[in-house]
Amino acid sequence: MRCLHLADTLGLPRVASVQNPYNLLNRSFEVGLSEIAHREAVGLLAYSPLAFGVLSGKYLDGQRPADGRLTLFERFSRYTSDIAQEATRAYVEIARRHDLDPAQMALAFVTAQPFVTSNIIGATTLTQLESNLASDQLTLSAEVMEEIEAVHRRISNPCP
Amino acid sequence: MQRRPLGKTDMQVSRLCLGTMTFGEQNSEQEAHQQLDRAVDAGINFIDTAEMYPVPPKAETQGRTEAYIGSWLQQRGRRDDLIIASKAAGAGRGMTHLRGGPRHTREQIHQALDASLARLQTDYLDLYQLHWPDRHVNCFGELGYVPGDDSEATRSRRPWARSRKPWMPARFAPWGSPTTRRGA
Repeated sequence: MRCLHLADTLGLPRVASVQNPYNLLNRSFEVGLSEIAHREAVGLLAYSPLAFGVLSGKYLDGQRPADGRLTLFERFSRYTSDIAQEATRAYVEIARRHDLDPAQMALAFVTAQPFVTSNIIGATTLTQLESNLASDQLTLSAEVMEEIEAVHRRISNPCP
Repeated sequence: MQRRPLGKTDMQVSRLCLGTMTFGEQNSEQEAHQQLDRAVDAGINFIDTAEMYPVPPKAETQGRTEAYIGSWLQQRGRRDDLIIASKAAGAGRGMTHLRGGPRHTREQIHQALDASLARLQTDYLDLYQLHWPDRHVNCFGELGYVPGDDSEATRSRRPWARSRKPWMPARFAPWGSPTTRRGA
């Protein structure tokens, strides 16, 4: 805020964006920064929208696909706690109930937020990339959004 | 693909941005180029990278991601169609392979920017970001800020005081940094 104030009053280059993690398992940006994003026109470039791939469901129940980043690099433990798995399972079940791909649902949720300027997708295969790109065509129904909110109220930000 | 304004700049970025942190570790140069081609074909004009990529950060691979994007840019041309963002690493992540330990000083940011531009084979970035604050902050799942646990911040405040650069976020600024268009 101080930096923005100085930029605006002294005619200096202005902060244009914030790149913080934002995904179904970590919505902490909403609490303190979403209002600033709106009022100051400093939008979120959402980092880790799939929580390192966890929100695809591919790591549930101890699965460790051979080419997955969490399999290859054990240092990445942010999104694999018990509570994170419980929330992930709940989000994956919402997607399955509504015949959605869990990863695409997770991405569409991020892209739809009014404080998000751009959603930073990442892939290690072209198949994953195609799926991520296709999430741009997906608009989540009010029913899906309400079910997502219900899980969020029960397990808020398990991976801050 | 819908485009949205980037802050108060005159730039419009696609609402999906291509992240690149796997290029040079989990993805080869050829795979990186295939992803870049496909993403741009799908309407993405926004590419995000960082000097420390690929992940996990290592001395022997540092800079590969930007280099792979650079070789693609060189082949493709039409640089002005694209919004390219990179980042300068900050203090306190043990990355001594970057300038002996990266800091967000004026000198180091210039060094980092010049090196990124060289790897990217371009003469400007559209957006330059501080990869994390040059002070003690909560990150990677930490909760409950502890003012006493401030050794990093104690070290990092001095350069700010000396540099007197009000355009750099000294206290409350978020991770993003001002748009950088060299020569503009």
